[in-house]
Amino acid sequence: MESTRIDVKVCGRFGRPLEAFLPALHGWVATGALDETWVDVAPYLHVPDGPGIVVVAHHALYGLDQRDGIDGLRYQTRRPREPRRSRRPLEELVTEGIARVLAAASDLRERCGDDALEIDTSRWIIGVPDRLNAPADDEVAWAEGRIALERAVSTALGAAAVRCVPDTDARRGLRWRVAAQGTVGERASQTV
Amino acid sequence: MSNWEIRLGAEVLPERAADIRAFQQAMAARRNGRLDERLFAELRLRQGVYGQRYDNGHRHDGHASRRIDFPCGDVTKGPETLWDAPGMQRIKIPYGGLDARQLEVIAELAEEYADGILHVTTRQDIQLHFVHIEDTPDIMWRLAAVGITTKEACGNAVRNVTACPLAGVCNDESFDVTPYAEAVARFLLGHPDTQDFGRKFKIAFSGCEDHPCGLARIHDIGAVAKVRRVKAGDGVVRTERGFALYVGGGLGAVPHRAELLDAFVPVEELLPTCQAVCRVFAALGEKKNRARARLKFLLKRLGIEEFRRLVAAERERLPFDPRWRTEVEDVDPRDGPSRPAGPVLRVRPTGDPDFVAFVDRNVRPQAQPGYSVVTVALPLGDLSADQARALADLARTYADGHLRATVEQNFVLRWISNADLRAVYDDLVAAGLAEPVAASIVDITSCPGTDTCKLGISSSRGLSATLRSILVEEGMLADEAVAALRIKVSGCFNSCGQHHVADLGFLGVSRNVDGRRVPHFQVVLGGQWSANANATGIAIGAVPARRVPDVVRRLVRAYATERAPGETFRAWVERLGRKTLRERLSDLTAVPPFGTDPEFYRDHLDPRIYGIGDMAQGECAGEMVSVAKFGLADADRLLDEALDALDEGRSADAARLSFESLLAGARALVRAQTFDVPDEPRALLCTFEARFVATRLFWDEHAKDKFARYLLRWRDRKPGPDDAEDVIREARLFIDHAYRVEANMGAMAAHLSSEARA
Repeated sequence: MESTRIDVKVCGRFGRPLEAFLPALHGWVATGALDETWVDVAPYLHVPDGPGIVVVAHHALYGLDQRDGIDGLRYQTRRPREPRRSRRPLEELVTEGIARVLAAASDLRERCGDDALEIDTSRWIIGVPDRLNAPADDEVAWAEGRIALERAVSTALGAAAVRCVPDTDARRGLRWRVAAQGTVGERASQTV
Repeated sequence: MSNWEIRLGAEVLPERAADIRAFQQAMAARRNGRLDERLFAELRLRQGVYGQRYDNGHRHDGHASRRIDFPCGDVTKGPETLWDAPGMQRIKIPYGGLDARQLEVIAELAEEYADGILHVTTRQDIQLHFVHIEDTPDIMWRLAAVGITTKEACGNAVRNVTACPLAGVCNDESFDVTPYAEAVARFLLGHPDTQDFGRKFKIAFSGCEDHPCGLARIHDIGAVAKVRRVKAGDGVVRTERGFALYVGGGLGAVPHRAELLDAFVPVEELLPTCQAVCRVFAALGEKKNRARARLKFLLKRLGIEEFRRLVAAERERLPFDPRWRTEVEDVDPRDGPSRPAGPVLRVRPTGDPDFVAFVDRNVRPQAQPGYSVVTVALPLGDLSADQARALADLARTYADGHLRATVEQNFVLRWISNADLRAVYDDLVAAGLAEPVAASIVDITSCPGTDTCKLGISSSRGLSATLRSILVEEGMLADEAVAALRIKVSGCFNSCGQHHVADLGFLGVSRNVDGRRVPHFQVVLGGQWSANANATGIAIGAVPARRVPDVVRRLVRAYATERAPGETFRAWVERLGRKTLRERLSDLTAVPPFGTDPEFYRDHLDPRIYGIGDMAQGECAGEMVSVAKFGLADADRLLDEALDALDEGRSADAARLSFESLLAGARALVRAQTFDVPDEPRALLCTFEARFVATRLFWDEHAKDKFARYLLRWRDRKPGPDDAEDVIREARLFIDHAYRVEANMGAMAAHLSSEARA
């Protein structure tokens, strides 16, 4: 299955009010962190269970996310990194998304302190915001998407078992809550 | 062809599909450097594709301006506006009315192409931010498939037509203005008479004179519903619907209250009268000086009497259009009850204090017994995609599938049975949308300001968010007179936050202190929100952004304790006067040195040291591109299509398209001289010959009238497939020469204008 976009969120907990992260996130933009072409920081602290703070880069959005009532760090593709490959295999997109969100978590903890952000690499929310290539009314898309996710999460995190629970509201597009069990804890803590 | 076009093209109205395809072609032409950047800028603005802060590729990080290295290099989508820089997509929602499916689609677009947020504007539009221009055609196809257009959402055009969100259910209205707002929006969309404005043009409808919902007095045309009794020839007295039409209102740096054009315009005269006003504006409005190009300046120059005379004369000249009548015939309500009526709300509900507070603030009885309007207060006009879907569910379950955006950046659900109020409240609580603050001092209106606007001077949204938190924490809703006050914040003098007509208005400005910039807000007090925004406030002075919460506290507490019984805030402000109020705030104007308190040198919710280096040329004024240039660009586009057709072996299409291209070129030049351009090809060619060939305006020193003859030889027959190659070649020469003629006409007009001024 191929897609143009992926939305990867690692669940966790923010150790301080979101507003306190603003200097660090502006720091991403100022210092060109994470090998991204940054544009701006957009705070949506006033929107309950919303996107929290969105940091906009040319190729992707990053965010301290609060959707679903769950704190987490998020990465969403925006523009293709290789213009000739606007559609990529979902597994490849998810693998890259996981790597980038973990790198962002690592950087943020360096800037804000270890207690600022806890992440739980056994809990993920992964969506495919690409209703053209991954329509939620297509059972095949759900099946292929799940397989791609399981493979990517398993490989990226070394998880022994991966369980994907589809979102109940198909209007949100293809979207799963992902539990990665097994060696994920050790792998994740090393990565982060 | 985009993939969404393939999937949805058949569901889109042909004229809208043609618009989107033309925009896609213009994008391709601009990317290839074949279309001028100014012309493209105005073309994209007229599709609602707007620039955003930092789109010149520079951003100040508090210490220095950093370059944003977008992959596009120096390809631009307008002057100093880089192709790859994220922008804003404005989505027109006439009278703020949309249905559940439409809201769901906008939520999907926010998730896929923007940052997951839908922003409701002070003109009942919805905006998506951080959108890449390459995604905009897909956005347009997906919107068009559910009946929404972005056409003329920005640029020098008729913007979204707004209306009272309570229209049809209000207790005080003369009649439901919704069908008329819809008719005007539809009639003027893309109308030839609205394509040559020097600036934007705003129209609003109100069902009554007294309430603020329509804001008729701050619009270019404000229509207020009226009913009069007339005695017919048979002696029977009937009621007749019409509108009091106000013209020339506007806020901006120089606010003007609209003046009465006509106390009663019967509904069948509504469209031609609006059309005549548009023609007068297009013909006589300023085109060069953008700062003085709104209708209000023309009105000031001419005076209302002369303007009225010109409109009446233009009305007389208008060629008859059957749509003047047919467009206003369907006056059926656009929504209605889907659930049985509930009990009449005579007494406040008891029990759960949060629910009671919600009913007090956010629920308003409709004119129809047993039903209510529920206001969903959106902080800063924002809602997430998930919240939008929750609202769509609520609309489907309880509100006939419809909802309306408001100029106070909220949504209203109408036709809510009073029996369902508790259930609606519970669902809103679950969606995080049940704040009991509607139409209160906490329900602050704000433009985007420095968050995304290129013109923003101070952070209007940052200040609004800060004030909102403070006012709730400090219990400002406890005193009803205080709670009813309105706060509105604009990030710059363009006044998109409508601060002029708020009780407490704040306007972003910048001040220099010890060689550093400090964000400030000008305090404007006592504006009149009621009576369709009938009066503007008085400017008291500028205070540092950090001090604004103290300013609000002090003023509100003073008003609460000093007001006479029944005294409004505006009356209190007038009683105290500017001097006294300024003295009362004088200690709050001081700015400590940077070393003592650097927070004064930062804006709300922005940790960067403040500066104004990120400001850039705004796009609210649009690019001043002549109507002829637009037409010639269209001729160019058709010629490109003809070439494609020829390359693909479709000779008949190539001949047809190249002939259309010739006609478009001729039409463009004729339109530069007169409103009344014939549609029929032969009539158009005759007009062109009379105006441009006989007068030798379309003349080349060497080729003489040769290029014109390329066109005129098709007066009596249309080119066939065998003619395709010739017509394409000749059309190229004709259009190139038309550009030269257009430039000469512009230079001549400028010369005559300067001579006239001299």
